[in-house]
Amino acid sequence: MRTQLLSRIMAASAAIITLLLPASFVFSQNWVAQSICPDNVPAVFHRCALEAAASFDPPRTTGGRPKLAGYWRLPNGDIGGAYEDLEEHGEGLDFSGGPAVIVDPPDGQIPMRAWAEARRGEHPQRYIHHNAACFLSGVPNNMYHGEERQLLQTPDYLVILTGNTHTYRVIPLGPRPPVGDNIRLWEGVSSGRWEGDTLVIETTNQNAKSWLDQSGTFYTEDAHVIERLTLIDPDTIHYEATIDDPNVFTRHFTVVFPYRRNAVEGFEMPESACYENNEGLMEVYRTVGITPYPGISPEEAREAIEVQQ
Amino acid sequence: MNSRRVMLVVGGSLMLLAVAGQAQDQAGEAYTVPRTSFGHPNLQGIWQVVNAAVWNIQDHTAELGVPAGQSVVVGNEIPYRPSALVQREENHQNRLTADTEANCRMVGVPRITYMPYPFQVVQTPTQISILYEYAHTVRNIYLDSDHVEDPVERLWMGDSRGYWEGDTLVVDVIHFTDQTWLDRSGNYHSEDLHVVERYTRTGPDHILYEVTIEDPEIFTETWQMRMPLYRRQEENARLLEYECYAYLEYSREE
Repeated sequence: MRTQLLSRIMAASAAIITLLLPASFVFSQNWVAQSICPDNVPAVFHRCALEAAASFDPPRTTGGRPKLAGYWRLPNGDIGGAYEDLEEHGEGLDFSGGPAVIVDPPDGQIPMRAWAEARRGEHPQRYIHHNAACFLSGVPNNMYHGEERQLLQTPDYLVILTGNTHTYRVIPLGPRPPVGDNIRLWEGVSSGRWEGDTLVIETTNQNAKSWLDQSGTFYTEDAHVIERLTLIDPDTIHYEATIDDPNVFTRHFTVVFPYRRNAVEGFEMPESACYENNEGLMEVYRTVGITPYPGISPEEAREAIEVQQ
Repeated sequence: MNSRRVMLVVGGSLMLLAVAGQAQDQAGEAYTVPRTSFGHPNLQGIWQVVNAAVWNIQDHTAELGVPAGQSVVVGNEIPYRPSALVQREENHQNRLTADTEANCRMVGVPRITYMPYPFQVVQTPTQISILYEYAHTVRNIYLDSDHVEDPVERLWMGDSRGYWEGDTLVVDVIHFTDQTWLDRSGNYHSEDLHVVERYTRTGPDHILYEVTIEDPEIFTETWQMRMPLYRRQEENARLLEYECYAYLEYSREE
């Protein structure tokens, strides 16, 4: 009974999420510029992109930095790939399937600790996926939830605007005063720096109340995320994120995505109101007693590791 | 140009004159507005109001938990139609539950500007984005472009199109929902709301923010708001988060 109800809710949420997709979704023909690397398999894209980046001299800002500004799209879109599961997965209810986006470790598996692996499996049954509740996605999930992105670039900031749920991230590109450890944010505290022609973004201070995918892969407040954005041709960004959190993972791991330049003429970011239109779905969740994911504290995680040993 | 547009432009020009005078009075001499690398007046930074407009945009006495405030409405009076005044009173009675802010929804324009949270302005040659701490609201103001015709759905934050008039950023906003209010006291508008905002730097740390409100369904004539925006001075100033509805959803479990 409960499983049946859950299936119905998940189907309803999928339908509602589809309804919330920006109107531009219909332009899915010819919506991205050509890329020199194939992008349907992240591991293949990764190898090709690293080679391409080595010899590519990117278009530059007046300050001489690679020009990352523009509208970008994830080729897999909202309905596939990493958003569902970072690991290779097949089709299923609310899953359209996709290859692993993990390039390190090479086996494409998330190096989950045993306690965390068990916990991950329970999550989708017990809690509302953060995006179904319109909550922010956290880092790096924010970067592969939904297709549309706009990067605004000034000498001082890179701003990342996301189509779904109208999120923003503000990445300072120079040194900024530190933010206290007790301040916890969905999108964390990010700082950016240029390493050659690659923009490196380090993020801490996340509240870790979102998952890394809809399979319930999680992390704790101790997570340290390093993202790297590199132009590999005029219309493709190689995006890489390394996630480290010893509470949950036996080692750090790295995911890779292509961002391809949105070629839809006159494209503008949609407003994408989410919570404003979500009361019906939230009411269903409340009725069946499924609640927003509360997160797992680093202390709880460390205790679980000890119990396991 | 229809007569409504003419009226707004004339009104705006009069306001601009008033502003120029004011900037001169305060500084003793005309302020030279700094420019971005691409030559536009520079409005970038983290800004916030210091007033009680979010509680009530008109003159109001303090109550428990509500600070007193002087009107940000020019002349204090809002020219409601008699029928609309009835609705405004009903809103006031139901304000603790009916206001979209009480339900953590987006709050519309211009109210988002005078919410008690900072916002950051980011400029490019073709677009000005304003990122607000309240509920990660974003406004993308496209410069020298046309409003969407016949939008599929009404927008909580409207459809914003901007242009530079001298050193002033003028933003024309339409296609609103009728869900949002102008403050917590129940001042409101319809879907026909047409907002014209004017942002003018008056000093290194101040922007004069002026708003013209037009909504023939609710008001008998256009009216204005005016207030300064202050640059956040803290060395570590940055946008944090106020994820209103997430806190609301978590609080339901307690």
